[in-house]
Amino acid sequence: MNNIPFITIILAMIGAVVSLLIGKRSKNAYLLSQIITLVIAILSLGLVGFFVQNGGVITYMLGHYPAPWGNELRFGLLESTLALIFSLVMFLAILGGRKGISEDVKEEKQKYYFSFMFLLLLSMLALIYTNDLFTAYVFIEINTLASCAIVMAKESGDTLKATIKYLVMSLLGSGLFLIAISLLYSVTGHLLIPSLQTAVSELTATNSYSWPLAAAAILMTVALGVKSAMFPFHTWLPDAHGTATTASSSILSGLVVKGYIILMIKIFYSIFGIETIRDMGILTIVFVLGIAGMLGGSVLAIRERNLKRMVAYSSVAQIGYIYMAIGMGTWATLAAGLFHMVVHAFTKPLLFTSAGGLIEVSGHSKQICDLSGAGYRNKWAGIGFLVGACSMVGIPLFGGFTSKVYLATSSLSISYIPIVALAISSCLNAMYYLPVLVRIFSKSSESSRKDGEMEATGVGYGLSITCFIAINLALGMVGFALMYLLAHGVQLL
Amino acid sequence: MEEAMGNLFDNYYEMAAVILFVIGFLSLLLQKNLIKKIIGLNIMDTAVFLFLAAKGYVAGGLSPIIRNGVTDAKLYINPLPSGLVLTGIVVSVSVTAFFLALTLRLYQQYHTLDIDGIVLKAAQTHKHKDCHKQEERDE
Repeated sequence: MNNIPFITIILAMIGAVVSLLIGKRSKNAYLLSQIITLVIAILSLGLVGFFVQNGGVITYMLGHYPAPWGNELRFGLLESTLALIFSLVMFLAILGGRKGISEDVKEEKQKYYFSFMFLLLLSMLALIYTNDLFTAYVFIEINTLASCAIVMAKESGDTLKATIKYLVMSLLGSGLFLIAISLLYSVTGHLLIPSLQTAVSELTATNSYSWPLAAAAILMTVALGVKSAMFPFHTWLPDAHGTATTASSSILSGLVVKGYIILMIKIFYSIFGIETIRDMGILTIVFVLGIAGMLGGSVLAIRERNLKRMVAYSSVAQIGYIYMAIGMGTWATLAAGLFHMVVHAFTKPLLFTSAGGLIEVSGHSKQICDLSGAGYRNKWAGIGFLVGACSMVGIPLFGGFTSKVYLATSSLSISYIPIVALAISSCLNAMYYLPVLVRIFSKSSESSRKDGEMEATGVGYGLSITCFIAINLALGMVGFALMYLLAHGVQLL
Repeated sequence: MEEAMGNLFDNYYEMAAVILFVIGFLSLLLQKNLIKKIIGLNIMDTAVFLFLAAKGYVAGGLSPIIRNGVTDAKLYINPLPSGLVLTGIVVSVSVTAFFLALTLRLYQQYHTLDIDGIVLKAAQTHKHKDCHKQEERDE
């Protein structure tokens, strides 16, 4: 059991290389990526089972140097659950986006695309498992490059422009993160998270070096905020997620931004300690920006006429929910925030995959006004979008409802503001999802003319949509099982 | 106040590093020319390396390779920041390579390096249909 996280990371690394070697026919690279992702998911499931039975955390030493100098992985219930979810979403998103990939990416370049997918998975697994801040930095950079690469894989002027915006913003974030690590290292002399924790708590107890510590914490928050599209820094997100190919959009929105949020949670809870962060005033800022994102992202989505960009703006709002939950800073809200993160990780890829299908049967136009009746032309996509929208709005029985209930109940004892914000934001969500639903299920004269375009979507697409819907319903009805894992997992941070 | 100024001048390496970092950060953020952005990125990264290298230096220390069996740690500089700088340089080089390749592609597509010009040209190449006008026409 000790070796599983390391094996999953190495498997992804091997996959990245092998897919280049065997990828002369893109089908091989695709199959390899699906098999290895599934194997990683199964291994992670085994790990989850192990921790459910035995509890506790395992610290895994990499190389031959012990704690204060060497490099470590650290994992428990939370980390293994997240790894399972990430690899599962990756598998389903590529399964559903396969057709889009083969249309948008040149045949001979597809092996690079799948190789970058491996790098993305590898860097996210490493971000989840790592116990060392500098290792986290290196994998953040790998993650940045891989995610920029999968945006620009669809070669067009739009994606190039989106990539440059994304790259510049990400690099600003990386730079801030690097200088923050250097600052922290210069005051504490450590990079390993447990050693940092002891050093920081000693420093705060004696009230020394409070300025450098605060500066490092703020810089890290801003850096990870930029990378995870926290509200005022979200400007790159709609371009990057709205123009990329379907599978890229799903994975970027569903997973990549979450990796950074998990790292931020680790920094807040495991390095500085949540009370220190609260005293620095950072939690309040995160909370306020979260609420601003919930409302601002939704308003921007309402104004959007391009389906994929609308779904992308909706991500900004959903990330706002997560930050609001983190910003309240109790175990219950943190678990609720993580629950929302998981629900979003399963819902947003569903929405993007469905949107890709709807756009495909409407003459490849992303404008909402061209989608009349698209839900009939591609039934899987129609139903998928319906379920995804219901979940995001928060209709009972769907995942989004459960997560909003958890968010609301966990924040009751703290303040009334989150509940008001939740209510307003849910209404705003409905305001932009409902018109699209009406549009795609309306039988206009135009749609009957396009009926001939009905396309065979393939087994993979249907399977992917079915799995996403099933998981969404499961989260909505038996979400408490996942909540149990997360609530016990966060205690061990 | 005087003490603070004194501290600043004592730690002039760190001060220079922070000033360089801000210069690089702002160039990456604000410059319109993509090549200047890349230069800004490199200044920013190099500033962090300077900061780390300055932090790892022990006055009068030798490079951290044991010589003549002397194992007293005080005689050598701290090797860890140097390791971090090396890793950082690798990361910085690969990011710069990616950025340059992307700039090349953008130049081939839009024939300009100016970010505003690229946005302008991208807006010209495909004009979005206005939904409302189309709907009014349908009715």
